[in-house]
Amino acid sequence: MKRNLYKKFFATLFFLISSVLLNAKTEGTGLEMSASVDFLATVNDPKQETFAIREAEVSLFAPIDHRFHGLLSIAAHREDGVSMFELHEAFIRGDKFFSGFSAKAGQFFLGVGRLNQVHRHDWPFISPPTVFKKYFGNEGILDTGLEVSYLLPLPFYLDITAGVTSGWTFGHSHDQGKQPKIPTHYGRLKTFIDGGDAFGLALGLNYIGRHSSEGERLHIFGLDGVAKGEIFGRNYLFQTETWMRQTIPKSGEKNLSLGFYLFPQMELVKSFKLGVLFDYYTILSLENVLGNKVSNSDYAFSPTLAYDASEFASFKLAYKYLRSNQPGKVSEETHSAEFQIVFILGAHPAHDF
Amino acid sequence: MISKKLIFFILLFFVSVQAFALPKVITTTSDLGAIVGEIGGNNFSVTSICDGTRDPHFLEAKPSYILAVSKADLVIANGLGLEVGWLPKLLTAARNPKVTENSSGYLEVGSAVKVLEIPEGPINRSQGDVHPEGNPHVTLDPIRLGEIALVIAEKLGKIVPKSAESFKKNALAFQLKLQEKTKDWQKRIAASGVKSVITHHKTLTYFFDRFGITNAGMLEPFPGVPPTAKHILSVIQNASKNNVKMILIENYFDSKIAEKAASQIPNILVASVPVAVSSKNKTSFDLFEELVATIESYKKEEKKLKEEKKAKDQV
Repeated sequence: MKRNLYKKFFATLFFLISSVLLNAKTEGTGLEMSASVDFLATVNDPKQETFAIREAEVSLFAPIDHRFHGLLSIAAHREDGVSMFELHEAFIRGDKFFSGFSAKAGQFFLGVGRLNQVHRHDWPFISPPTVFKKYFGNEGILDTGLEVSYLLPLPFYLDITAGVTSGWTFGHSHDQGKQPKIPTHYGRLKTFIDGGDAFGLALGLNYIGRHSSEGERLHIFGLDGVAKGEIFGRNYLFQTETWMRQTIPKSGEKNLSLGFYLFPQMELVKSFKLGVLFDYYTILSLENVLGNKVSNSDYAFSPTLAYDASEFASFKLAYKYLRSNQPGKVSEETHSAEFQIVFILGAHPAHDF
Repeated sequence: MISKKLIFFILLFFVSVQAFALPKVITTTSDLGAIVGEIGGNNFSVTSICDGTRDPHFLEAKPSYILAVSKADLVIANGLGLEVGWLPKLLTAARNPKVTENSSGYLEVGSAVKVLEIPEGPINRSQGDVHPEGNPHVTLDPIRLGEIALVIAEKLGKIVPKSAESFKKNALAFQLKLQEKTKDWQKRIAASGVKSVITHHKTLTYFFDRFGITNAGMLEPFPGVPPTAKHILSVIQNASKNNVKMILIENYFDSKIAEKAASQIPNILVASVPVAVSSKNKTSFDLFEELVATIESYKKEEKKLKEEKKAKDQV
């Protein structure tokens, strides 16, 4: 009860401050505001409502002074039928210390992987792949800490990112969590291969680690890739991430799992794109009582048609087939459909490649 | 011992490479790159991000561009909102303090000349991709291009002060040549009889303004918005009424829609034209020459178009 009151108060305060800031004389401050709204309608999905605002996010961003800039965003999203307000990101970032270096401090989405660094309304598909949802939650990992990044002075593109965050919670959480033995720490190496107009490939190698308050050690390794280009005058996108998670409890067996997704997408005609999301997840360490490995898997297949009316409004329609094969159970199949509307009001910064 | 020597030579190699490297200039468009080449000679290593065959409004902020900007000594941008969709991202991601906006290594040239089509009154996205500072395609006027060359020369002179005078001299010569050529191009366009043209986007506004051509309409219903059937119908009606002679399609847009529309308009010629320096038109002179020659070609094609229409009418 108290938590909800606090969230409502915080949200009201944020919107009041936003409106005051926008009405006040902000000329010369560079203050910009953006709001994004993400509607989602589902058919035959037992876990979600039929038609609701999945998320509404308001962001304020501006240079703070000659050296730093900052961002503050708050999001309201539906969870179990209730709109939850929460602080999404609030950070200060500096990139004028020395060439190629930047640092940010505050609360932010961790600079790992692909989806984790892109706000959900900007994803090329509607729902998160299974592996992402299991490891990072529906939206990605947010935490408070420090992240540094350096573009190495080499003849080719190589960007190295490292960060440490509090680690009191991991993934999507609405409670305070507990102090970890070793906070969340992560690193990423990103490179790029430029093949001109026809081809561009960004590759990332990621690691995330944490030791929880109970002494459970967590290691997540990931590889992500994004290819974009043009074939026969049509734009294409190929996006993929593979993640492997190892959890080692203080006592007991270690748990090893792996998952990946593939998303090829092709422009059909101007503004219309068709993509197919295929995702797969398995627990590698699952054993039966005799100690033999047991096969298990969750996989999904989701063709998605997207129409971008402009850079600021998009509509997506997807059919989703899910199949879960778990030991000792009859395979479960789910067929569902999703329809998403996303629109953006105000300024919206350019996306990463 | 050997390893110490090896490290020393590797370090020496990198230091020497840096010491003898030419100052790196990144231009957002190939037109600006061509100017740096004209007036800076071999004093600079020049890279243009948009190569002249792509729409400069919409460009992917590729990491390879970020890498180039991270090593730049000077970034020259068109400005007036032309690169707003991707240049801020490149500058932020490059993290190069030398070339951030408002630093001495950053230059925007658009506002240095008289800007056309500055919107009056409030603007918003319902009017399409309107540039609040005015039409940004300033480099398509040869006279304004000459003025821009002088601005660039001054900036280049600050990067390599010992050659500042030479850059200024080259820019003045470039400007004079453009002014002389413009007189010739004006005569040739006047003789072509083309006074009214349709384009896909308002890219050629400055060119038309200089050469006395009216931009009778755009295939885009709003700036940056793809053509719609309803809008094309109104373009066809307008073109037939106002005796429009040509549809010039910027070479990075598909000309199929224009060709379809042209089949409904009598005596109209469709041509795909370059609107920036590219590997085909290596200099600004080549670019303007091709634009003028394309407009001139109407005269030759006019007879053929009339005969085609006559044959069609008889059928």
